Amino acid sequence: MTVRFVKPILTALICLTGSQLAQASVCLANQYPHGCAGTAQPRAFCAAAVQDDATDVNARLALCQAHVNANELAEAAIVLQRGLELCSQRQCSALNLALSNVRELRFKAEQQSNPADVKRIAEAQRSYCLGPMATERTIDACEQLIASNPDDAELHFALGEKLQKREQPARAIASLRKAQLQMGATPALSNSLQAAEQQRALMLNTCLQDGTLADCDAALLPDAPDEYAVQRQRGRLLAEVGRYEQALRALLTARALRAEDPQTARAIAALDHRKFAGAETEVLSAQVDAFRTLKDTAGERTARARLQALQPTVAEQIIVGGAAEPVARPVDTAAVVTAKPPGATTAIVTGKPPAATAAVVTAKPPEATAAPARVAAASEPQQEIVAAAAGTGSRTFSNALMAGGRTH
Amino acid sequence: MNPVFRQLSTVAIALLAGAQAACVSQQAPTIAHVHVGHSITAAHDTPNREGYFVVAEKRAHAAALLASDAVSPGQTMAQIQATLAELNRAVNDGAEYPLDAAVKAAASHIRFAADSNDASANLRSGASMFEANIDGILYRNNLINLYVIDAVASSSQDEVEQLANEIHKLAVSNQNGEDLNGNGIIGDFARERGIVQLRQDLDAMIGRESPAYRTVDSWYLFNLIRLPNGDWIFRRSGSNAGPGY
Repeated sequence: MTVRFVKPILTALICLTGSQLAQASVCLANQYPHGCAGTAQPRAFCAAAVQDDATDVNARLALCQAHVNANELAEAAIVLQRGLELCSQRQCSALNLALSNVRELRFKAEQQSNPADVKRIAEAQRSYCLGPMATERTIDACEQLIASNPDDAELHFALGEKLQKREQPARAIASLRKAQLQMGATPALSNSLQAAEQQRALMLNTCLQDGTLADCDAALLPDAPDEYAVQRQRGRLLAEVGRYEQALRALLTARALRAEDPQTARAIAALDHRKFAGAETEVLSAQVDAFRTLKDTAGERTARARLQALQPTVAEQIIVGGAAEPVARPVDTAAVVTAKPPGATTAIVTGKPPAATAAVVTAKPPEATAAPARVAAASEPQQEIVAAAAGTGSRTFSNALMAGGRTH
Repeated sequence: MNPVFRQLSTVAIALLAGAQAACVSQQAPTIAHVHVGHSITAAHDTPNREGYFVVAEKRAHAAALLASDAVSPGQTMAQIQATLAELNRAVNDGAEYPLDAAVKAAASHIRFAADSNDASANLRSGASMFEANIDGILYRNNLINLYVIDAVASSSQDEVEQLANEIHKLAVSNQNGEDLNGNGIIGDFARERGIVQLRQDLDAMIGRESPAYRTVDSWYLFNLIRLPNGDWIFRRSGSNAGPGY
C-alpha cells in the first residue's frame, strides 16, 4: 500500500527536477502539475518507471510530458496509447484526456505547415515586395521572389522602383528594362525608367568627377558605353581604400572593355604589385601591357624584369612570344561577367584565354623557384615603382599607394 | 384536506417543479455547441480561459491601439520599434495565443463543431465560410510580421515611421476590415474582413441554430474529450476533471 503511493510521488519529484515550467502541462491533469523535462535524466527515469510497471499511469503521464516538452508529439501519443491498452476504467480517463491534448498539439503543429498558410505567406511576401516600402529588406524580398519567378514583370517593376528610391539607379534601370521586356512600355514604367536614367546620369557625373565608391557602384551599369570609365574609377577608389583584389578586378575589366584607354593604362601602371598578395604576376603582366599602351618602354622593361624575377618561366614565354597578355584569371564580379571586351583581351574577362596565351596560363614554375623571387621583389626599393610610373602622369596616385596603401 | 397539508403539498409541488426545471437546464449541450463554446465562451489553454475568438478580439484591439501609439507624433525611433515589437507579439509572436493563433484556433473549433455527429446543417455550411473568411486577417498578420521585422532592423527614423504607418493601416484593418475594392462595402470578400465582420459572421451563424444555441456551461467546455476512435464524450462527473479538448 505504501509503495503504491510512494512510487508515483518519487516519480513526480524526480521528474519535477527537470521540468520546463514554461511548457504548459499537456499530459498531466491540473491535479498533478508535475512533469518530466526534455532533459535526458528525468526522461530516462520516467521511461524506466514505465518499463518497470506498464500500468503506472502517473509514470506514463510524466513520460508523455517529457516527450511533449521535447516536442516529440508522436512519441507522447504512443506512450499514452500503449497505456490505454492496459488501464482500468478510471486510469483510462486520465490517459484519454492527455491523449486528447497531445492530439490538439499535433493538430496545431500540422496547421503550421498547412498549404493554405504556405500560400498565404507567399502572398504576403509578394505584397511586401509590391508595397510602398523601399527598405533594404523589401529589396532583398523582391530579389528572392524574382529568383523563383524570373518572368514576373510586376516584381521587376517593383524592384526597379525601390532601387530608384534607394538611389541605386543602375540596378533600377536593369530591373525596369526587364519589366519593360515583359510588359511593354507602359506610361508608369516609362516614367520610372526616365527618372532612373536621370538619376544615373547625375551619379555618373559625380562618380567620374570626385565621387565616392558608393556613387560609382550606383552608376555602374553593365553594357553601358561608359561602363569602362566607371570601372576605372572604381578601381582607383578601391585601391585607395586598400581593397586591392577588387581594385585589380575593376581595372582589368575597364581595360578589357576599352583596351586603348590611356587613363586605365595609367591606373594599372601605377599599382604597387607588392600589395597584391597572390596576384602579383597578374598585376605585373597587366602593367607590361599597360606600359606598352602608354608607349612607355622604360616602364614596360621594368615591369617585365619584375615579372621575370617573380616567375622566370612566365616572363620568358611572354617575352619570347611577344604577347604581353596579362595572365588569364577568372573574374568574379557580375559586372565583369556581363562585359563584352574586345577580342584581344577576352581572356581577362571570361577566364578562358585564347590559344595564343594558353602557354602563359599553363606554365607554372615550381614553388621552390617562385618563393625566393617573391622575396626579392618584395625587397625592391619603392622609388623604382615611382620612377616607372612617373612617365605616365600617375605620380599622385602611385604616391598615394606607396604611402601605406590607404589614403582615406 | 387539511389546509396545512394542502399548503405543504403546494410547496412540495413547487419544489419538484423547480428541481425539474433545474434538471432541464442542466441537460448536456450538443458536442457541436460545446466546440462553438470553445470559440466564443471559454477554452482550457487560453489566458483567463477565454474563448479563442474572444482572445482574438482582444488581441486585434490591443494591436490597433499599439499601432496608434506607434504612429503618434514625437516618438524616438527606439520607442516606435519597441511598440511595434510589442504589437507583433500581440499579433504573431506572443506566447499565449496571439491574434494569428487565436483566430486559427477559433476556426479550428468551429470546424470541430461542424464535424461533430450532432452538428446542424447550419454549422456545417457556416464553418467552411468562417474558415475562408479568416484569410484576410491571417494574410495581414503575415504582412505585419514582415514589416515589423523590417522596422526593428532599421536604423532610419524615416523608414521606421513609414513602416509604422503601413502597420497601423493593417492593424486597423484587422480590427475593422477594409474596403479593398472601393465599393463602399467592407467585407464583401474574405480579404476585406476584419474581426468585427467575423464576429458578425459568428453571431449570425449561431443565431440560425435550431435548437437555439445557449451559452455552454463551463463544466462541459472543460470536460469534453476525444476518444481514440474519434468520438467525443464528456468526462464522467467526479473523475479527475481537467482540461478538455
